Amino acid sequence: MAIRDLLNEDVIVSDMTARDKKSAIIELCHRLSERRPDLDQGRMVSVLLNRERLGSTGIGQGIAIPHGKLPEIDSLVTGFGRSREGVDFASMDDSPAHIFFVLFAPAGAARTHLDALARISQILQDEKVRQMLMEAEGPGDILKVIDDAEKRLEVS
Amino acid sequence: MHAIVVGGGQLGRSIADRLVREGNDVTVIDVDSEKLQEIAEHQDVRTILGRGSSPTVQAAAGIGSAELLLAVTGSDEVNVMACVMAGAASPATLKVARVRDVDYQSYVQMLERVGVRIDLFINPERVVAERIKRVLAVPGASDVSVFADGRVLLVAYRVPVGHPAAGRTLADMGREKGLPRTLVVAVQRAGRLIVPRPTERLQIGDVAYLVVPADELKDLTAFLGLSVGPARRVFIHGGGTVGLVLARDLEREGMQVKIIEPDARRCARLSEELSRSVVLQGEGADWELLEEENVAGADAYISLTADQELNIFSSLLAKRLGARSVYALVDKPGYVALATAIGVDVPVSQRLSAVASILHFVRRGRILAAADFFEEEAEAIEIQAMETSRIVNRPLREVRLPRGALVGAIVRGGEVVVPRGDSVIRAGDRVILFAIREAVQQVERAVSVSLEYF
Repeated sequence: MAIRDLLNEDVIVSDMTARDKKSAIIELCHRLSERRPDLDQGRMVSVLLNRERLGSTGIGQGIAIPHGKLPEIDSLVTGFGRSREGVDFASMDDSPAHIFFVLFAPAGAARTHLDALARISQILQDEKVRQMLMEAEGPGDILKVIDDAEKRLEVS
Repeated sequence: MHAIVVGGGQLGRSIADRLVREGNDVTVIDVDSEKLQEIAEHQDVRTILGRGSSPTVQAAAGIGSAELLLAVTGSDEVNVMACVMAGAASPATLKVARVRDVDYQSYVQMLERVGVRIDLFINPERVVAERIKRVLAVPGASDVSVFADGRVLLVAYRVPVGHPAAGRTLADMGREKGLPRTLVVAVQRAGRLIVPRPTERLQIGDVAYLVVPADELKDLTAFLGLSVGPARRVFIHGGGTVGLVLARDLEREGMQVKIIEPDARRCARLSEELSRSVVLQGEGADWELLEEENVAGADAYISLTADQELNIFSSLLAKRLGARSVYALVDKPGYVALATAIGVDVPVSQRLSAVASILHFVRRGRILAAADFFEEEAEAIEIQAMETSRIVNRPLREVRLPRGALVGAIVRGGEVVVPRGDSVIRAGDRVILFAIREAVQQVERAVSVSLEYF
C-alpha cells in the first residue's frame, strides 16, 4: 500500500501554529475532521492523547507518528503536518518534532496499519527526504516529496 | 506535559512537586499571593494569582495546552467549577476534582446531563479510610498494598526487639525450612529506604517490605510468629469525616467500634449516623477514659483528629496501655518517618494517599496499579508485559533493569510466581516491579510499549 494514496492536499497542514503536544494533536485532528465531517474531532484527539500517555510517538530526528484505533472507520485515515518552529512532543531524543504523520486504523484491521507505519518510518529514515519535507513550499510540494521518496523505495 | 494545579495548599503543593520531578511543566493557581510566593520560592513551577474557576485566569495559565487540570482547593464548589470551566475551554484536558462530599456521585450524574465530564473525583477521606481498612485486615502489618486484582500483596512489617529475624541475612533466612514464598523488596532503616541484597542483615526497628501471594499470606503470618487474627475491636479517636466514614465501614464488617470525640454536638451526630458503634464523649489523650474503656483489649487504636501532634501522642498513650496496634493520621512532611521511629505502628497520611491516587490516575494505561511507600521514596508498580518490551522472553538475571529496581512478582493467569534468576516474563504477564524514585521513570521506559502499539 502506498502512503501517497492515503494522503491528499486537504489533510496536510504545511505550517502548523501549535507549539505543544496537545495543541498540535488538536490542530491535526481539526484538519482531518474538516475533510471527514463524519469523524468526531474530540474523539480523535482523545484517542491520540491516550496513546501518547503510554509513551510518546515522537521517534526522534524531528519526527512524530501519532496513531491510534478508531472503531468507526473501515479503512486507514491519515494526516500530515509540518511545523517550522517545532513542537515539544516529549520525543525519545528530547528534540522538538517538525514532521507529523497522523494515522488512524479501524478496530479490527489486520496488519495494514503496521505496514503503513513501517512504510512511513522507512520513508522518513532518509535525511534528505526529511530536509526536503522541511523546505517544501506547500501541501502540493510535500505530497510530491513523499511520492518521489516512495517511488525510489520501490525501485531499489 | 503541561499540568495546571488549582489550589496551593498541602495537597496541591505535594502533587505539583511530584509532577515537576517527573519532568512536567506545572502552573499553580491560587487566590493567596503569600502562599504563591512561598511556592515560587521552593518549587520550580509557574504561579498565577487568581480564581482557579475563572476562564481568564485559566487562559493565562495556558489551559489550551494543558493535558491535565487538578482542582484541589479546600472547596468542593471551586474545584467542580474549575473543572466545568476547563471542560468548556478545553475538552481534551483531563480534569480531576477533589471533592469532600461523600455523595460525589450525584455531581457526576448532574454534570453528565449537561455534557461535562470530570475524569476523576478524588476524595482524600475515602482514600485514607480504604488504606486503614487494608492494613487492619493483615495482622502485624504497618502497610499493605494490593496488586493483580488482589492476588498479590505488598506487606510492610517492622522487626521488633527480640524478633528472631534480627541480625540474620536475607539469604540465610531464605534457606530456612517451611519458609513461605515471599520476597523482601525493600527495607526502611533509620529514615532511608534500601533495596536489599541477599547479604543484607535485618536490624531491630527495620521495616521490611515483602511481596507475597495473597492466598499464602496466612502461612507468612504464622511463619513470622504473628498468629493473631485480623482486628475485631477497634478504637477511633476523632469523629470527623474520616472517622465517621471508617466507623461506618468497620461496623458494617461486624467489628466492635468505639469512637472518642470531644465535641458534644458532633457526638450526637455520630450516634445518629452510626448504628452499633459506641460513641464516647471525651479526650483521646485521657488516660483514665482509655483505661476505663479497656483500650488494653483493643486490636487497633486509630487517632484521626485534625491535630496531628495529638494523634501521635494519643496513639502512643494507647499503645502504652496495651492496644495491640496504633494508627495516627499525620500529614506534615517528615511526620510519617518520625511517627514510625517513635513507635506509631501505622502512620497514615491523607495527603500522601491522595497524591498517590492522583498520580496513579495520571499514569493509567501505562500502569495497572501503583503503591507509594515511605514518604514517596519508592514505588511499586504493576504493568502488563508487552510482546515488544525489553523485559520479556529471557531469564530475569539477563534482564537489565535500572539500579534500584527489581521484579517483585509475576502473575500469569491465576498463578503467582515469586521470581528467581531463572524466571522468565512472557508477553501478557502482569508484572509487579519495585523501584526507588530515581529509577521509576527508567523502569517505565524499559517496559513501555514500542511505536507500533495501537
